[in-house]
Amino acid sequence: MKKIVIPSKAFFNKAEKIISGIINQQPLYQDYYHINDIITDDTPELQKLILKQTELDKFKISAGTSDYVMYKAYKDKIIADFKNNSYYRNYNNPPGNNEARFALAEVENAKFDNELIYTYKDFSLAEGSTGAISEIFEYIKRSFQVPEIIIGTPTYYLYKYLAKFFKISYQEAFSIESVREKTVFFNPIQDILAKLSKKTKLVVIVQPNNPTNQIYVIKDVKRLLNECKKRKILLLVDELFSELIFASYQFTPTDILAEKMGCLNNLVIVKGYSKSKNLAGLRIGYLFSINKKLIEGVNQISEQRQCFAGSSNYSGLIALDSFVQSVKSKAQKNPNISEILRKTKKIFSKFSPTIANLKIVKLKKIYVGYIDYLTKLKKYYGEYCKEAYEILEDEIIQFVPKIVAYNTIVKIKGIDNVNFFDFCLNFYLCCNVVTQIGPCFAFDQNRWQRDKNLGFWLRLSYSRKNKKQFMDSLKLLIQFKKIYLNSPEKFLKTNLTF
Amino acid sequence: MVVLTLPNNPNGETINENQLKKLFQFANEKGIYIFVDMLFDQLSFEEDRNKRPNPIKIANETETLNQLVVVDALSKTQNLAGIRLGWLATKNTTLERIINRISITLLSNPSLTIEPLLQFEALARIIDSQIPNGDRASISTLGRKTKTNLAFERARADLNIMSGTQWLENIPYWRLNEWYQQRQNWLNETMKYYKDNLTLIQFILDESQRPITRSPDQAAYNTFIGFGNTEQNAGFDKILKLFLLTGIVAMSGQCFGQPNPQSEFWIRITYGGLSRERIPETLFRLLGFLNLWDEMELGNSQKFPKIDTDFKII
Repeated sequence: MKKIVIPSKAFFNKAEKIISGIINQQPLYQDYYHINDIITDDTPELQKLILKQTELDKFKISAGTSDYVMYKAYKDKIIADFKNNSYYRNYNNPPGNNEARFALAEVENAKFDNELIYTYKDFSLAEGSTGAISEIFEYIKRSFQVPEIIIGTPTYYLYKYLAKFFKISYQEAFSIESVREKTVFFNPIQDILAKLSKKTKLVVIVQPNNPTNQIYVIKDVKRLLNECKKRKILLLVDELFSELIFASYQFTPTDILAEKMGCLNNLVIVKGYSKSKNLAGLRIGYLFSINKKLIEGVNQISEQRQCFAGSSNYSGLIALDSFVQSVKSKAQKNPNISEILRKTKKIFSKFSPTIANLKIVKLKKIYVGYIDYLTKLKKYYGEYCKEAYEILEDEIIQFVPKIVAYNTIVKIKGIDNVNFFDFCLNFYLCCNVVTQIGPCFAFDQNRWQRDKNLGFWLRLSYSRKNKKQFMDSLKLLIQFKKIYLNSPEKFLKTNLTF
Repeated sequence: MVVLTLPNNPNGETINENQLKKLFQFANEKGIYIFVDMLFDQLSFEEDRNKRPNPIKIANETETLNQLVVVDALSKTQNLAGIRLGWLATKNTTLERIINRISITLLSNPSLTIEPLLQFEALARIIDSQIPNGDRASISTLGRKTKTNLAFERARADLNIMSGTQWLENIPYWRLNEWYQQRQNWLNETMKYYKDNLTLIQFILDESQRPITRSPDQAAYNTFIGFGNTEQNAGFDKILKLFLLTGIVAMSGQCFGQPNPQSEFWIRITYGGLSRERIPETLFRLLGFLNLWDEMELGNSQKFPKIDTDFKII
């Protein structure tokens, strides 16, 4: 591995000039949630300079997406559909193709004992899950005069960003609890309950959570649902990671709880294919809710914003995956796979030409292959995470239990007294490694720096294709930290904060 | 901001260079943005590119580039509406940065899957711009093989400033040329298909003896036809009865911003999405319905139920 050398003054001067040039060009949006976007991705000039200095390719250790290849049968399906179908030529309904929506309703119904909770009309396809989330925010903005949103954190930075974009006031709910020794648990639900007011119209929680990879206690989720019902608040649950739970844990989908409590009308769930299927680039996302007013509003926004949902291109894939998920879900209650496959095919064949045209033998092969793929995927992530923890062992002072692949967040010791922004920026300049830390997921840098319970929490996305480069980047972080803390004056100093 | 669709949808009309220059000069004086929707630009029936109004060139000449935003996509040109591959271009860096932030907020990222397709299309359009008088019919106007290579080399050099186009470097010139020619042939065939469809529509309507008003039709693949005088407030009722009696779904003038009431009944006919075989039958049904409407007074509320509503955007 290459040894880090402190770059020359001339290098830092050049870098500073480029960075201040970019920052001065930001007339409206002065938010730096991490250095990825504005500073690293939009500046080929800076990237070339760093590449020349470090002779290392840019590498993101907190990227938030996985490089693991998609399931082959799904790839074959996409390719075959593009060859044989004409989805790509046509416009579709604003909420998306009916085959896909029927299939999604089927898979979400499969987890209930009473299987008729959802109809296809309760589903709206969107441009990725972010598209779905932003449609819900826009719906809230259009529906209420002075709404307020409460966001459970740490979470995907875009929730806060969207609230700002739609000029909706928001509060961030947050709590960190020490479980034992170095282990902590982030649980925003108590704080959400404390922050609820007459103005609250939407509450957002992400579970399984990104970046903390945690599942909330069922009792807490029930309390939250109960309050939402009582106060007529919409609860948005982002369940993008629900399929990636490690074996020893179990996740109860929020709609199962809501159905028993009679508050499904207060719930909207967002899902997508970016995390569990490793298809972030296809932008397949959707939302579902039995709340008719919400769906009607969202569909109207969808038509105005995107003409119709691009995810419809992949309705064959969505139907196939929904079939697999339905079988998977039913197999938990009935071990007779052949019977489940036959019955599920019969149901799907009513609305899905994709499934109707596939023989049971083929469907079984795809199902078994998928289960195998998912098992290997989780095993891969599990081992990857373990290796990363081993490298950082002496650096980590707090961490969260490993529950869901493929993000986690760890607290690195010794950095609390230097400007986090400068640390991350200089690490990028000297090692070409890009990081995302606490302020990307809640509040601002000052809070993370000031609060003794917080500090330098780093997200690790242990899902990069180049495992060696990932581990090397962690080693570089350790090495860089020592050099930087010894002589911070030798590095670039900015007045910026995340 | 001024919004222009050029060539226009539904009527295929373009605005001549002098008119555009005046508008751009006015925008320059007043500091107004000009938004040009160029989705049908590649489908112009004017083969000579030099004769087509080019908003970017005019903006450059009138020093309004900083106020110009152009939008294009492959939905019309390449029949890829479902892929959702559109883009906007502006020299205004402030606007560009704000739009990029909005894009992050609403989409997280645009779809990357079809990006290489877009990159090849960009390459092909650079080549297009190098062909004198825009002769679509023949790449041979580029000259001998070496000249063709030079054109591709220039185009690749232009594209190489972008990241993500390196794959084009690995494609030999002969292969790029082959792809380019296939694209040209496809475009030529498509334009011929559209032109023939339009001729067929015009022939049938001319033969019908019905007084009609035609649109300028300078670009494929919509035409906008005025079917003579009509009763006031007949728009929605007439379109609905057309559907109920003939199965034809149509869009009337009000769908495209014509005020209501309108004294003439306008319908957009999209011959791009209508197969050749179905054109005569569809038009005969439409003409039959219009005759029936007049003869039976289908719009008379004393004789038939009338839906008293209108097309509107809420």
